[in-house]
Amino acid sequence: MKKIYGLYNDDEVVSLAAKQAVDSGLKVSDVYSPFPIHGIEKIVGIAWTRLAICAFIFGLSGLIIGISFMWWVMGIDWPMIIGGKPNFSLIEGLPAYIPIAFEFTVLCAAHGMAITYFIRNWTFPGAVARNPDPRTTDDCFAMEIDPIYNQNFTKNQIIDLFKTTGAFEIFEKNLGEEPTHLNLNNFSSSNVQPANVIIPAITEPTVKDALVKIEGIGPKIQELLYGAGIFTFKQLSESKSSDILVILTAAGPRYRVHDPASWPQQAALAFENKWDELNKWQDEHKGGKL
Amino acid sequence: MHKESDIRQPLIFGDKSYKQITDDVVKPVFGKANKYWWIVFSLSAIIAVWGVGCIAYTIGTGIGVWGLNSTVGWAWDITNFVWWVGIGHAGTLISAVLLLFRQKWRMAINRSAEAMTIFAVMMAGLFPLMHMGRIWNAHWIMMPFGIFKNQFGTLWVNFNSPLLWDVFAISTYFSVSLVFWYIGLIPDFATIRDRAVKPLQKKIYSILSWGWTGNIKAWVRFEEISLVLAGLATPLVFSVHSIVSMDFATSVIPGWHTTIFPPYFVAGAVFSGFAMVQTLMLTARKVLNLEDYITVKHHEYMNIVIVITGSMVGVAYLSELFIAWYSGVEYETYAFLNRARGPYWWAYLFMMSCNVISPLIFFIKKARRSLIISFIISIVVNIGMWFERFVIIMSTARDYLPSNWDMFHPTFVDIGIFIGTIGIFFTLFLLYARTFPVLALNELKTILKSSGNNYKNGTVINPLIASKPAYANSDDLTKIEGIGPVISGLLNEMGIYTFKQLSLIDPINIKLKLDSQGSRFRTHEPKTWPNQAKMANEQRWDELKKWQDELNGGKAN
Amino acid sequence: MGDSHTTTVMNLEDKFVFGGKLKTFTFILMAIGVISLVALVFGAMSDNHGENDAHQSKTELSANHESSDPRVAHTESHGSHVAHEVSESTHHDGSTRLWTNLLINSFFFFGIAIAALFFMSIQYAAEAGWSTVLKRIMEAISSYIIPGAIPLAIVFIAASLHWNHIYHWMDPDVMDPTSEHYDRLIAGKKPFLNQYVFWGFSIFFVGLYIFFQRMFRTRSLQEDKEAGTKLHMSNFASAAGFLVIFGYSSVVLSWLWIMSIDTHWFSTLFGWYIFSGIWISCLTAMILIVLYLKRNGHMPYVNSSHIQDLGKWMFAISILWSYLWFSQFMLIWYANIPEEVTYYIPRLFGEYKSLFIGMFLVNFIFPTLLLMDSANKRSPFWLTFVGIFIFLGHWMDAYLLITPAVAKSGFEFGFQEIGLMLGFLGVFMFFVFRSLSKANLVVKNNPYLDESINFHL
Repeated sequence: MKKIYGLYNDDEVVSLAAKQAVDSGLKVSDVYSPFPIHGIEKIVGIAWTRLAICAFIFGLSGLIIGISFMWWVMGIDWPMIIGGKPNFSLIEGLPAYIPIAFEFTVLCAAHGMAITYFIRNWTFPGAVARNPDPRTTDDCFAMEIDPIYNQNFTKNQIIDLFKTTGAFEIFEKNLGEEPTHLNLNNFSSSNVQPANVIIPAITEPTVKDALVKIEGIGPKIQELLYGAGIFTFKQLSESKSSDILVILTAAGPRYRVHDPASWPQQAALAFENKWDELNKWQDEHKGGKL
Repeated sequence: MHKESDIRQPLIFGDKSYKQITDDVVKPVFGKANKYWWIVFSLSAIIAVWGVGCIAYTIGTGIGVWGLNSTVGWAWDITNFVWWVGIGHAGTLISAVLLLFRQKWRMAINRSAEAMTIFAVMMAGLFPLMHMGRIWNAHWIMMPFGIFKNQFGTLWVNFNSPLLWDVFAISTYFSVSLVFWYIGLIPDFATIRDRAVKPLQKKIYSILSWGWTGNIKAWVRFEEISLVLAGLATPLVFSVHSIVSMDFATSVIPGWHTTIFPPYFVAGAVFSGFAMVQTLMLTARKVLNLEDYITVKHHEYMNIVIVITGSMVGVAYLSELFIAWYSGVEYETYAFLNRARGPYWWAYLFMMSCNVISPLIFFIKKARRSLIISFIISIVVNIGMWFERFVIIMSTARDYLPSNWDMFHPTFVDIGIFIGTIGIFFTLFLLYARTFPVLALNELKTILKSSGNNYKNGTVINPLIASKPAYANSDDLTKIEGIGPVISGLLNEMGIYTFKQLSLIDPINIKLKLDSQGSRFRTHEPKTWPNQAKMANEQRWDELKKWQDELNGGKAN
Repeated sequence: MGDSHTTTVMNLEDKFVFGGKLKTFTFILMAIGVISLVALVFGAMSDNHGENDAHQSKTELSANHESSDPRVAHTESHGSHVAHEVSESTHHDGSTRLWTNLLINSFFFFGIAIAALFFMSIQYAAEAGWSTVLKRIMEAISSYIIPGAIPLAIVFIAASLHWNHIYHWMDPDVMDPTSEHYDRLIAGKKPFLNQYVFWGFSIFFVGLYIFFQRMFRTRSLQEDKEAGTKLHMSNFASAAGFLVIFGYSSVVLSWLWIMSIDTHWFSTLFGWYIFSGIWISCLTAMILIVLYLKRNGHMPYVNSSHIQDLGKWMFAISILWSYLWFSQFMLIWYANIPEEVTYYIPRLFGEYKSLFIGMFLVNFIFPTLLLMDSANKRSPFWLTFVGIFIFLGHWMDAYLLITPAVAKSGFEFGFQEIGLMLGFLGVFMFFVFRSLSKANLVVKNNPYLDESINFHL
C-alpha cells in the first residue's frame, strides 16, 4: 500500500499537524524537513538518539588503548629514557603521554561516533535519497502517514486530516515511484472529523459586505476573511493589518505576497460610504499597496 | 524556537523566506562566475603554480635550497607552519565554541570558516613534510606499528617528543574538522541535489549528499552529533595549538621555555584565525552577493573577538617580558631584550604594533562597524601574527655562544613556497565558493524566524503566532471563563494578548501549549475560548455572561 | 474592545528575606570562625616567646629537613640559590599558621567576589541574554568585594609591619647587600617587589574593582525603575573597559599577592591560573546560591535551562582550570629547570603530596566525569554534590598556593584551618545574602529579561 504524504509550508504548522494527527489516533510515520524542527520527535514519538553514549564508549576505549600502547612501547617493548623521563613507571611518565592520549581519545570518539552516525542514518556515497519530494530539502515539510499502521482510518479520513491541518498538497507514493496526487477538492469531507480537532464555529451574520471592493482583495481572499469572521467593512476597518496577515499566511504561501496594510483604511472609507474618496485613493495606489 | 530580545539586531536582512534562502545560497553553484571571481582566481592560480614549482624544486634538490642554517635550524618553514595552523583555528572555534555558546551569528560564517580551517591546515601540513627532506619516507611517523626493525627489535617513534604529539594533534584536528564540516554539508548538498537539473550536476551532488533524507530521526542524530562534536572539538582546538606551542616550550631555550605558551598560542591562533575569516568573509559577501546574510553586525562580532583575543595576546607579551626580567635569569632577560633591540627589532616592532596596538581601534564602535577598517586591520593582524612567530623562532639566531650567532636570509625558494601556499589556499577557497553551499543552509533556516529582519519588524508574521502588541493594548483575558492568571500568562507567551487574537486562533494551538506545561493544565479545555473571546471583543458582555453561566469552567456541555 | 489591562507574563516581584534559619546559620559559622581564630591566635602567642632564637632554630631545622630529601637538596644546590632558599623556608610556626590561614581565606573569598564582577562584565559585554535572570546573584556576590577587602588589608598591613613573614621579600635584610641574609635574586626584583609597588597596585586596582562594582550595582537598581536601553548601552561600554582593566590587574595582583610568596619562583602562566581558579570558585558559589533560592521557592523564572547553562559553565571552566594547571605543571616537569621545579618539589614530593594530587583529581575528575552528562547538569543533586566538592577543592588549591610557599615542611592542618574557613564562609554568606535581600531578585526592566525568562535550550 502506498504511503500518504501531506506537504506543508511551515515548520510550526507541520508540528501542529503532527500533533493533531497523533491526537486523533493516527500514527505518523515520519516528517521530512529541510532543517531540524525542535521538539517534533516528542510529538511523533521518536526516541532521542544514544549517539552521545556511543561517543563516550569510543572515547574511553581510545584513552585506554592510547595510554597502554604508549606505555608498552616506551616502557616495555623497547625501554627508553629520553630527557630523563621515567617511562618505566606509568604514573611518573604520565605527563608526557597526556597530549597523545587526549588526541587519541578525541580521534576515536569523534570518528567512532561519526561512523555510527553514518551507518544509523544509512548515508554513504552512493546511497539513495528517500525523501518523498525534492522540495523537502528546500522549503517544504512532508508528513508521512502509512495506511498499513492506520487500519482504523479510511484513506479519506487521512486525507481529511491533511486538509484540515493546512497541507497544501497531498499525494501518495512508494519510494522511487512517481507520486499520485490526491486532488484536494475531489473527495468527500463528510467523514467524521478527527476526534480532537475543533474548528471554532463562527456565527454567520445576515449582512455581508462585498469586501472585493477593497483594492487588493479578490474573491479568494474575501472567502478567507469571511471564514475568519470578518464580514463587514466595519469589522475590516477595525482589524489590524497584522491580524489579517495572520489569516493570509495561514492560508498558504501564495497569499503571503499580499500586503493588507491599507485594507482597514480602505474599509473605513467604504463603511462611511465615501466611495468617491475611496475610488480616488484606489486610482492613486495601484494594487492597494501603500 | 528561541525568543529573542527586540533590541537585538537582525542577522538576516531582506524579505527572506525559506525558499529565498535556498535560492540565494545555491546561486553561485548554478550560476556563472562574475568577473571579479575570475580575476582573483587567475591571480591565485598563477601564484599557486609558482608555489608548486618551488615545492617540486625543494623536493627534487633537497632543503639545501632553503635559507636555514645550523643556528636558525627552524626558520621560515616552522614560522609558516605555525602561522597556517593558527589561522586554521578559527574555523573549528566558530563551529564548536560558538555553537556551544548558541551564538546565532555563527550560522552565516561557520561553513566558510570551517572550509578555511581545512585548507589552512593542509597548507600547514606541507611545511613539516617538506622539512623532512625525504618526503617519500613521511609515512614513517605514522607507522607506530613496529613494522620497522633492526637487529635489536622493533623501532618506535618517540612518544615523549612534542614533535610527535604535533603529528597526532594536527592529524586529529584535520580529520575531526573535516568530519565536522562534512556532516554539516551533507544536508545542504542534498538541497543542491534536489534542485539540480543538469544530469551530471545531479549525479555529482547525489554522490556528495550521501543519500541524505532529512527525516526526524536523521535530524535528531544530526543535532546530537553536532553538539557532541562541538564538545569534543572545543578542547581539541585548545589542545592543538597548545601542543604546537609545546614544540617550543618543552625545550630549555630562553624565550621558548615559558609556561604561558599554551594558552597564549591558543589566543594568538584564534586572533589570527578570526582575522583571516574576516578577510575572506568581507570578500565573499561582496563577490557572492551575500550582504543580506553576512551583515555588518557579523563583522562587528568578529571584530570584538579580534580585539579580545588581541588583548589576551597583549597581556601574554607583557607577562613574558615582565617575567623575563623578574626571573632574574640572565639568559631569559637577554632573549627578550634581543628581540626588541637585536638585529630583528623591526620584526618585533611589526609584531607589537600590528597585534597589540592596531586592534585597539576596535574599541571605537564606528571602526568596528566600518567594513574598510575591518578589512585593513584583518590583513594587518595576519601580518603581525606572522611576525610574532618569526620573532619567536629567531630567538635561536643568537644563542649561548656568540661565535655561533648568525642571521637568517630567506632564499627565493623560501619566499616562493610561502607565497605559493597563500596562492594554493585562495585557489582552493575560490573553487569551494563556486561549488559548495557557502552558508550553512539548514542552520540559517532555523534562525530565520527569530533573527530575520522581516520577521523581527513584523512584515511577515508567523502563521501561528501573531505579532506581539504593546502591553498597554492587551485585554484582560481572565474575563474568559476557564482562563486564570496563569493561563493568561501562557497565552501571552504564545503572543496572544487581545480578545481579537484569541478569537482567531484554533483552540488546538492553545491545547498544545497547555499540554506542554505539564499535567496540571491537561484538564483545561480551550474549545469555547475563541467564541467567548469573539463576544468579548465585540463587547457583547451580557451575551457572554449568559453563556458563561451555562458553561461549566469554560467547557461546553 | 474589553478593558485594557497590563498583563504580566510572570510575576516579577520576588523579594528574598534574609533571616531566620539562614541568618542563624551564618552566625553559627562565624562563631566557629571566631573560635578557630582565637585558637590560632593562642597558638601564635605560645609559639612567639623567644622569637630571636626561633628564627635561628627555624633556619637550621628546615635546612636539616631539606637536605634529608635528596631531590630537594639537589635542586636547592643549584647555583647561588642555596643560602636564601634555606632562609626562606620557614617552619610552620603558630604565627605563620595564623597569618597564612587568614591570607588563604581572605584571598579565596575576595577572589570569588571579583570573579563575579568579571563574569557579570562578560555577560554585559557579550550581550548575553540568558543570564539576565541571574544578574542579581552576580551582583550580590560581587558586593563582597568591599567587606572582603578588609581582612585582606589586615594581612597585608601585618606583613608590611613585619608581624608576619609571609612575604619574604618584605624583610629588608634580604635586600641589604651587607646583611648575611642578602639575597641577590630577590634584591634584583626590588623595583617590583617593594612596599610602594605592592600597596600602590593593590589599592589602585581594588579601588577600581570597588568603583566598577558600585557603578554596575547603581545602574542595575536604576534599571528596576527605569525602562529603555540607555543603561544597557552604558553597561556594555563600561563592561568592555572593565574587562581590559581586569585582564591586566588580575595578572599583576596574582604576582604581587600570591606568586611573590614563592619569592624566587616565577611562571608566566601563573596569572591566568589564579584567574581560572577564582572564576570556577565563583561559578560554584553562584550555582549553590541559585539552587538554594529555588529550593526555597524563589526565582520561578529560573528554569532548568538556566541551571543547565550554569552547569555547563562549571564543567567548562573546571576543564579550563585543569588545562592551565596541566600546562604549567607539564612544561616545568618536562624542562626540569632547577629554578622552576622548586615550586613543585614540596607540593609533589614533600608532605603536601597527597593533598596536592587529591586537590587536582577532585577539581578535574569530579566535574569532568559527573557533569559530562547533560541530565546531570540540570540535576540539583549532582550540581550540589559536585559543587561542594570543587568548592572545597579550590579552597584547597588556595591553601596549597600559599602554605607550601611559606612552610615547605612541617605544616599543620587541624580544626583551626577548617573552622576559620567556615567562619569566612559565614561572613561571605552573610554579606551576599544581605545584598540579595536588598533588591528584587530579578532586574525588572532589563531589555533582555523577556528573552532570559523564555530561555529554553
